[in-house]
Amino acid sequence: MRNFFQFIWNNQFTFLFFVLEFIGFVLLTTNNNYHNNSLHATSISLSGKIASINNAYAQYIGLKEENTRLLEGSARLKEKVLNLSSNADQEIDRIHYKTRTANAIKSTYNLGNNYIIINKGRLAGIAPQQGVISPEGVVGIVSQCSDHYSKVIPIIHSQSLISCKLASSSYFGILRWEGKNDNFALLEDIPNHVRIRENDSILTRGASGAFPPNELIGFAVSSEKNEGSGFQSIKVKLATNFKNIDNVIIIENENKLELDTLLMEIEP
Amino acid sequence: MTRDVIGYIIRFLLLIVVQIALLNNVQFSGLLNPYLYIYFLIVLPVDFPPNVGLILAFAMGIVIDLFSQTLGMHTISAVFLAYARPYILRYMAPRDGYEFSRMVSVRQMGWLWFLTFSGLMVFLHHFVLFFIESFRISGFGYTLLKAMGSSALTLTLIVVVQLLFTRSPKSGLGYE
Repeated sequence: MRNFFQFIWNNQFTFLFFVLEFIGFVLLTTNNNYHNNSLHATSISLSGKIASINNAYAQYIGLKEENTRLLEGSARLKEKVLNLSSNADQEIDRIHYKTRTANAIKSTYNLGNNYIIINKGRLAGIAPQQGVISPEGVVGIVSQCSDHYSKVIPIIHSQSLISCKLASSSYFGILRWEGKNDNFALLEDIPNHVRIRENDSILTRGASGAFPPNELIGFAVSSEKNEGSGFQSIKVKLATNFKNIDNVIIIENENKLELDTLLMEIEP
Repeated sequence: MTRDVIGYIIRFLLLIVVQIALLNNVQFSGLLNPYLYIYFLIVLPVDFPPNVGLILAFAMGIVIDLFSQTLGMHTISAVFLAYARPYILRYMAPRDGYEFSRMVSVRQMGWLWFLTFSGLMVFLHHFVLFFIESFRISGFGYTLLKAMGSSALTLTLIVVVQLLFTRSPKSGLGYE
């Protein structure tokens, strides 16, 4: 035993290195699961405060551009409302979605795992697993909340998986991000025989309950058939511009708990 | 001695502020992300106690991580850098050894030595960092490219900082 301690003492530099790296890896792995932890909430609210100071200035500068985008967004909404009145009884299932607006105060697009911080949190009713969309299209999913801020995992994150479908044929697959270009993602698991038209809209399927069905994600650009697996992967141009994300809408599905419980029973 | 410590603390805090408030918002493209904060670890004196170096690297990494939402990544790569530093220093030692208590700087070590040393340190750090970041994504070549591009940018910044802020040894900062 004495020798053991002597050994550690003699190699204290290496030993200290391993201890610190171990702590680092623990932090890394706890950071990557989708649960709340107190250190993370502190980290979010700290960087949130700093970012909101930075953001106040940038927001003022970008007012004009933002106005145009809001206008476009409201035009699209109006279009939806008009459609809604024509087939109101079919859309009645959308009523259990509640929306809240927030601003992105910090966002990245050039990392392998990007994130967005928005300026509303637990106190405003935001909770993990709620869907986030912008006037242009789907943004991502809320992953952690502190009292006044929340962290969103955008589509451009290596762990982001969103269930999507093709607007023209309703075939569905999983959208994932390759980690390179923030304008494009890959829609996988669509059978080879499905013909993909260029610029076909890719919409959410609503499978996880985070998003309502039929929210715009992006447009098909090209497809690559994989003869081995029988499935093709489609390159999708994302509708959201992650470089200047600002106003976002957070969607709460009031039936999500019910849906999750049911899904848990099917695949525990 | 006390002046040394105060100097370290100021440099430590200043680099963190610059990294968080300024450089973290620099997004040229996905390829170029400067991480100047490791300048602190590079220019420590040659005979700086390695254990203290490790702990400072850990502290620095964790603060940067907390503010850039990347818990663990910078901690791991900064600690790794601090661990590798004494070995690289030993490897790059001049034939007659280092002069006692030397700072690592252009003025003290000369351009060639300083650029080689910083380049090696920066690339090592960036490579570990981007490798951890892209853990689950394939594309080793892309990680390598990203590490090289960002290293070049960080190294440029380090040289700029060296030219702007290092004073002649007799300026009274107590480094000599």
